[in-house]
Amino acid sequence: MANEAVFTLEPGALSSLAPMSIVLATAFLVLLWDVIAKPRDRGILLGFSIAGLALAAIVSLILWSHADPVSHTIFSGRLAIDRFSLFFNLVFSVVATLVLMISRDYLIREQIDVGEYYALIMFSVFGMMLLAAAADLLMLFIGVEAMSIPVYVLVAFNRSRIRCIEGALKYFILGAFATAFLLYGIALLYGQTGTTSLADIHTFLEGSSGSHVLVPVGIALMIVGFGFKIGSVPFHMWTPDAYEGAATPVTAIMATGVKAAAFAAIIRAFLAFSPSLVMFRVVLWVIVALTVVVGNIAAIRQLNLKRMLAYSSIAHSGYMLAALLAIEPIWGPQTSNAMSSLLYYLLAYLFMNIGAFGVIVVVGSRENEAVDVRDWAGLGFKYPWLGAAMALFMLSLGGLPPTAGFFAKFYLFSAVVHAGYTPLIILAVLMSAASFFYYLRVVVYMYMQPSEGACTPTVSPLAAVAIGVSALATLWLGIAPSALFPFLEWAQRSVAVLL
Amino acid sequence: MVSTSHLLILSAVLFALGMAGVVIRRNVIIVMMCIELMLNAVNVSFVAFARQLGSIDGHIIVFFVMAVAAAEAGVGLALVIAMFRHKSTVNLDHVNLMKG
Repeated sequence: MANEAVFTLEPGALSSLAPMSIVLATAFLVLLWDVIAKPRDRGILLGFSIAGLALAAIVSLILWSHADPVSHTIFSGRLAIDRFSLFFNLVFSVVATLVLMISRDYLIREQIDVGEYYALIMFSVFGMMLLAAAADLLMLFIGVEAMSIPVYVLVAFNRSRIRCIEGALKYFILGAFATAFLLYGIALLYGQTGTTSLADIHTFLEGSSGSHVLVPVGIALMIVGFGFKIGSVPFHMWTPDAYEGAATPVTAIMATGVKAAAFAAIIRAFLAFSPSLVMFRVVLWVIVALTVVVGNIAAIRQLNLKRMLAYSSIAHSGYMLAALLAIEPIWGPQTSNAMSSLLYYLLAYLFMNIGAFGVIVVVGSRENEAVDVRDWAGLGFKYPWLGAAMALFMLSLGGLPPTAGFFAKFYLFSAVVHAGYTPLIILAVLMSAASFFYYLRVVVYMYMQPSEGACTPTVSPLAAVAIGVSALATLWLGIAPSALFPFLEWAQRSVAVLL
Repeated sequence: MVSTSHLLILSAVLFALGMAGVVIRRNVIIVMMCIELMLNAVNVSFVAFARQLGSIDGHIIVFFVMAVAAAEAGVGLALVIAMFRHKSTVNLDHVNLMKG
């Protein structure tokens, strides 16, 4: 059907691209400015990047409030500029802003404060926005690559450190390997259905009798490709090494922005594949169970904070993947609940993770990156605000009641239980109880061990604001119940366009 | 006459060869070549399907894949050079600083 269609530009197509265009334009201007500006003050570049992200966020908000309740696709159905993608645009802008704010000190003390860093972050954010808006398998592929390639470079950014190169190399090889699987899956789906549009694939699968052998193989290959991107077991091998090797602010954006964008694409793709998803229930069940167990068990023996957070992010991927089990062949309120709880979980997860990585950045110094938890002994009393923030993020990651992490887990788990996966959720709850062992270890070291003075935190105002905002968001999403419902409703309305 | 299934089998064999190469070979350059082989195996599938379906989409996607593969190779080779500067080797067995 797309073959006969003459390419037409829908009215408003270009203006609805505004958030992406702004981010991309900022990236190019940052690159240009870095070359031509005589006094090389990178503070200007940082301010300019944040201004670009803020503008993109504002435009996304405006578009969000004016968006059609029905899905709005542009470029002959290639991109969907709906509330779902605009919600994610906003999320990515906030994430990138916070990450840039915690990056500044790190870049200066490692003497790698060059303009390319800001440009690469912006290019990667552009890829994330593209990925969240992809309504077509080709755009999905381009989005994944536009997001990943700048991140490969970012992981290796501190190239005087051998660990950075090693982490980047592992991430690159396994990432490219996974991309090939994703692409093969796309090829098989295209071959069987004759289209790359997610909406057309959904229509095809609804009407098909299920005798198409290439469809399940294609979906399976895509699950492998996505599994690598979000770091689910058994495709998680690169995660701890890449997270440990990368510069800490880069780890922060890998654990949050990249993962959120991958989940946005997974939600869109899985909703399109929903008629054929029944046969993958068992596979998904096993992947979720393995991810939750392996992630939490492996984290227990990590004394390296970055590796610990890497395994913890694997475990969180497992919890979030569980929500996909609740997708019904014909979308109903159960699917809608599961998807909106997944969005809420992502939101909570982003803030607590960026906050935790932000604290690690400011506690570290050039000589000692402060990734060993034993170096944190006594920190809680010497630096009460920093200690309190870290304790809050750790408890929230574990899921203690008055924090965002608890409500995120509560909504997500109850949505999956309603779908009839009680044993799996019992396993997940047990594992998240076990996770307190390694989250609380950080708190114990900070408050209950004698101070050895191994760490000398230097908190700049910029980083303090970023950590403060993350902490407030983590608390606010958890403490104020009235704050909860707008967010949930917001997430629900964002998903509603897909259903 | 070459049928679509012939081409698909060729594509699957090439993809499997590339996959085996990534898993077995220890030289980073060879591993990257194997990844390229996998991507181009997929391209064969796309072209075969496009011919069978009489649709242009598959042909177009191949160009996108080639462009992306080129960008990826650029970043990958830069990483290999950075690694060679540190270790004077391109063998993946020597990339073993981080474990656990």
